[in-house]
Amino acid sequence: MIFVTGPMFSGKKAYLKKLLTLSEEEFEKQVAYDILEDVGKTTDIEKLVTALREYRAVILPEMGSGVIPMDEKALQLRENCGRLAVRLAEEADTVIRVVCGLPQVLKGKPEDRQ
Amino acid sequence: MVVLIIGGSASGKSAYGEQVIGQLSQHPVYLATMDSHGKAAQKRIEKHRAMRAGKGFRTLECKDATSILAADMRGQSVLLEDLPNLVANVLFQEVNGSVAEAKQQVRRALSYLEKETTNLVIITGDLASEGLLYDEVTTAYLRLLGELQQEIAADAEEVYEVVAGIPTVLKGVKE
Repeated sequence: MIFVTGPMFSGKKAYLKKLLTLSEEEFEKQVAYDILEDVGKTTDIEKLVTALREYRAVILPEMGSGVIPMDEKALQLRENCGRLAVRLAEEADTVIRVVCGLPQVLKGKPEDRQ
Repeated sequence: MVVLIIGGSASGKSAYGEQVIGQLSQHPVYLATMDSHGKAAQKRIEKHRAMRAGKGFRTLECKDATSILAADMRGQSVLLEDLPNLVANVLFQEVNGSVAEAKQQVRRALSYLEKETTNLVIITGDLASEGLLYDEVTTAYLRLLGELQQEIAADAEEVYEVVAGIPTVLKGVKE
């Protein structure tokens, strides 16, 4: 599995589309993205990990920057997002952080997985 | 030696800090700076305690500069967890809001630690890249934290940013 992280709106999905050269239909089936709502609600990170590692690639933004929020829901989203990212990075063969549309390889080699 | 580790919330920076200090010493000191007031704080403290269990840490609670300066740190390998808490405690409790005094106090505590300890690993947070403007007090706190981070990084042998549990090198070389 390829795990793609990075700030929101940094070009993660566009990068992955170029890397994987999949059709739209294949991309929708093989790539998990826009999952923040589920991530914020979950009380079981491992259950999410089990489901997500079946995908070819997972996109999850970095949410842990900034002043720690007082609001419990916002706090939980940040915590869950961070913990899930750490676990996905452990499970992944390749971890890429996309910043300004540019890939920074944190683990593995993306070219091996095309 | 001094190592600075920065990362967002739940980025795995604490786990990495424990790993680094554990490689430098078999009996490291865990310098806990968190103010234990409130349920959320208690929960966090419990979580970190569980993480450290069985790793040979001696925990020392010092939530401000005065208590750090009073602690015997000679020859120790210390994991300071974490700078944002320490700076907040000093600024908002110890010196009652004076930024200049807070900076002086934190600097004194840090130079004391750098001088006395054999190894010092400092955990800090990425609090200032959120893109939100806060009130004057919070902004002053963020600026103070940022300036202190720059000072520590300038003197540190190694600086890492932890992303999804993976350390990325900002300064120094780590294989």
